[in-house]
Amino acid sequence: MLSAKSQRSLLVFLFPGCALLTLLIGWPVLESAVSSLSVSANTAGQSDTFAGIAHYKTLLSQSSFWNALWLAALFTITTTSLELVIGLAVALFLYFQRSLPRVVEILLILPMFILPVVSGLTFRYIYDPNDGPLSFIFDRLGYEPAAPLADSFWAFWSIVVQDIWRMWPFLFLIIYAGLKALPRSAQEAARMDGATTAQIIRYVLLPALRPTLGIAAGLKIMESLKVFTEVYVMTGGGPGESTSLLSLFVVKQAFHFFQVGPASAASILLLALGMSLAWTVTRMQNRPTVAGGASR
Amino acid sequence: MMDAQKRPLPSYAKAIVAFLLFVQLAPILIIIQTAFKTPRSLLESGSFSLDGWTLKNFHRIFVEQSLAPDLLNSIGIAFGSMLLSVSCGSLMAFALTRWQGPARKHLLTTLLVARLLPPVALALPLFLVLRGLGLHDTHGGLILAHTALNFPLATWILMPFMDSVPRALEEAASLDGASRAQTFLHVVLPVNKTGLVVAALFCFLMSWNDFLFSLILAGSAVKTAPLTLNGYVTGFGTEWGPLCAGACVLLLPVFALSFKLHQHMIASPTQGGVKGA
Repeated sequence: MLSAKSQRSLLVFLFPGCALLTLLIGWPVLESAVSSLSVSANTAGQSDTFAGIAHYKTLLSQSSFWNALWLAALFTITTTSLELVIGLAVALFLYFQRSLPRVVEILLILPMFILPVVSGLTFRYIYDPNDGPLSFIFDRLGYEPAAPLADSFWAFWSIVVQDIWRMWPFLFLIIYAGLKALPRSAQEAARMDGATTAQIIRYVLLPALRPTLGIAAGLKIMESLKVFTEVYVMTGGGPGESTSLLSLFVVKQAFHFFQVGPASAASILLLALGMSLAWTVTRMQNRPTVAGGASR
Repeated sequence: MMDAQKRPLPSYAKAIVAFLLFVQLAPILIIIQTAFKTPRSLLESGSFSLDGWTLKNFHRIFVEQSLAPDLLNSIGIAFGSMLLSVSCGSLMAFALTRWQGPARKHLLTTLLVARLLPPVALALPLFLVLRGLGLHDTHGGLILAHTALNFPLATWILMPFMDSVPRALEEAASLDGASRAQTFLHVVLPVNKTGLVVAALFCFLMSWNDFLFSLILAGSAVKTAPLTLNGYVTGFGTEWGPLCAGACVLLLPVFALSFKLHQHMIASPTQGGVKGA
């Protein structure tokens, strides 16, 4: 049935999607690549001039760019590792206690579905020095009311806490699914031989879970790179630049300081980073060890 | 042994589950209870008592302020992007599971990378293009911007569904003289109802949850509800009551859909976030 004619008729089906990809991803990326390499005209009639890598040099010479990159890396590493540990622990716990109703599982992962803007504002409220529940508790315990979001050290960690609350269920879901897909025979054999639960986890389950954990970590790293809204509504990147992650830096450069050239350069760098990460994650998914991988 | 299916939870396990539930749900419960109380009743009754519950905050946001038009914007844009993404996505997913052309692999990679890209990296590029097209701060512009994220997602969700349609069904239709388009419309789509619904729900939710694109690509003439909600935060002190009421309204569809979506996420969140049929 795979005649040349029927193959050609499929091109019509591909057309709208390819048009969308070109219009909404290809063209914008090209446009910003161009503006990252040119100085835009000041007056009408004048054409843009080629600037070479001047904008990239400007960008790389800014300490706030390196600060943003460092914060993004720190945020990614801390949230990913902590959420991986929590997600794995809860997944293992539930795996050995399999009588939990589905509704409990849904309630546990509910924060994952929450709108980023609501999640951010909720934590802004919790941390609010005047009306927030945290201050209320501090007050009852006889401490000064806390204002973590106004503190350049605690603001960052308050954001990390928010992310952990919201995103560990994401890692849990992936790991739990991977765990349930493992064949039970190996553990049962180990159990027969007198292995304890701890030994089964250490020597049977964890080695078999390695590919799943890799994918989970990869996807979470991608998610960390996407984080913008939560931080924007909680601190706006402040105080100072203490929570100005890469994503906030790009938006600020472009839409607060109107530095379109350097901001385009930063967008291109972010795209390159995102694409190489995406490519790595894709490669991991293609490994034959994972059932139902992404390549088909 | 492993078969703990029917065994009740031991008490330490119950304690752990209760603790996890408390941590995960407390922030949500705090929003709900703040939404239904006035600042005074909040202070007087302390935490979770039922005295002084009121609908005043909802009256504030819907009658005195105008959340409703922005909610309508959100809904309209989410529906628009959903329709565009699912219709183009289902065509694309169908073709990609049948087509053996030379560029197939590249298209698949492009789609996957597009699905995983950080939206922030696309924000400024999209801004430049939409401004050039005169679509900045319009419904159409936001629909297109959301579609940049939703279309790859919809395609990726629909591919396993499309793949599971038996080829014999299509062959039978074509033997009866149906064209490729007729087969697609009358045979393939009806079989894939579940997939279409799941893709549509995910697209709707992505669009509904978006804040970044609404902030950068619109915001004055066309304002979506998440942006309005953040507008309740002011430098002079925030009125948390109305804000939490608005948050509850925004969360309603999310929670309603989460039960449906959870079902499709368990199997393999790595595969486009959902499971095939």
